Amino acid sequence: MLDILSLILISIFFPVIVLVGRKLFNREHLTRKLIVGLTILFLAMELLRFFVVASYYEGAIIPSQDVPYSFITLSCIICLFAVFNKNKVGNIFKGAFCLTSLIPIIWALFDNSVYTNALDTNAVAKALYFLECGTVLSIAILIMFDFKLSPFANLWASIALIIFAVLDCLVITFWETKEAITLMWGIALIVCLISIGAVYGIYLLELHFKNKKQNNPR
Amino acid sequence: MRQTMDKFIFHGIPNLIGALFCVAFVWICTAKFKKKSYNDKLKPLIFLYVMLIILEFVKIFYHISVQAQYPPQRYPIVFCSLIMFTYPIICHSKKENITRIAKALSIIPCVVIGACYLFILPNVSGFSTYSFVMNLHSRFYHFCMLAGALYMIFVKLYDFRFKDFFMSGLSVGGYFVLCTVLSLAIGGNLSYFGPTSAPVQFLYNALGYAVGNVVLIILSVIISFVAFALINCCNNLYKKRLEKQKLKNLL
Repeated sequence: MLDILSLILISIFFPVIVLVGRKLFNREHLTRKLIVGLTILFLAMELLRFFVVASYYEGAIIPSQDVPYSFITLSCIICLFAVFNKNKVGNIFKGAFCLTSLIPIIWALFDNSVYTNALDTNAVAKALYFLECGTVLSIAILIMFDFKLSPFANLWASIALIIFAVLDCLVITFWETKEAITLMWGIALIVCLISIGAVYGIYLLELHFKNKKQNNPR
Repeated sequence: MRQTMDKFIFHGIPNLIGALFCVAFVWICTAKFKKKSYNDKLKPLIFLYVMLIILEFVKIFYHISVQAQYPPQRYPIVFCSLIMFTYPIICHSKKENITRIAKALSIIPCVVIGACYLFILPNVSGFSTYSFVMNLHSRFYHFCMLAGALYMIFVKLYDFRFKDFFMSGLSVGGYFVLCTVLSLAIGGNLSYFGPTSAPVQFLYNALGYAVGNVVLIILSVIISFVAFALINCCNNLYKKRLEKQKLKNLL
């Protein structure tokens, strides 16, 4: 329960702190610099999480059921493609990343095995996971503020991404760890899909208000 | 009766001496330096930080000479040592932004910690109680912090701006992370911010050491926001009241 509370607290307040900083120190190209900086931070934290978990095992060999691979790893890869690719494909990746930005948090709420490890006594890997959730959300919000994305292409891209993630999850989770598919797992998947719809709705609303503001500057 | 007297001598007298010094310092320095130039106003702060550094050395010498050991809990990387590093920045830095952050950083934590020492810690403190000299030293050190912060407020060395809460909160968090990493590097179980000997042990037990630290950093930003918002509100109310009084006097 306390884990869930701290996860929610960190993943809400991290973006809030970033956005407040952006508002207070409003300079030219600050949003883009922040996006790039946070992406590098995200990659560094993800790599560090893998190394931290590896350091708990003898010879740094992680047993397959304890590999800290989850949707957040996939998010990290998509984020790199989205931020550092300036083509049309990069734009689609941006949209997909934004729409799937809530999934790492939701997945962690339903299944605590994505961040817990019995050997992690100081909770370093857990803290890194929570911080990464906050970073994903802040990058997504900043991308939504800064870039003009084409909504429909993004929706299809994110659905394709989810299907890929589910297949990936099936391969990794059930072939390696031999865990059974539970009802909770199914519910988590449905909530994740709903979250994509919710973020998509928010994004459309934001576009609507932006257009309204542009048409009616007063 | 005897026990109460002992307690009073052990906790009360150091507290009384520290509090008297704090009041006397703030009173005399405010009276003397209130209408002086900015550079003159900084002189008491220079005196304070030199005294804090001397106190730190006294502590080290006391530990090494009398107790024949200098445990990591007493290293100057605890939260209260922050002031020893910020006052030199305030007094000698020529960059205004850095000075502003250092001022914001030193005022609120100092008032909070000093007030805690004045009202709470003498009764419940489990630390600094192993010798009368260290108890006196500890009280004196913390009341110096309070005195510096109050002096800065009274002589208007720092005008509160709401915007400063962000950098103040983040720098408190940053200092906290630095202290934690250093403590872990020195010896986690012995240091003040280590996983098993911190004042916020309950948080570490509940969430885990690293998660607890992240939550503390976020809390530092939130506390800073609340403190600056409250001060800002009070300032605005005070200004409005002054304006009303001026209008009344004119009418």
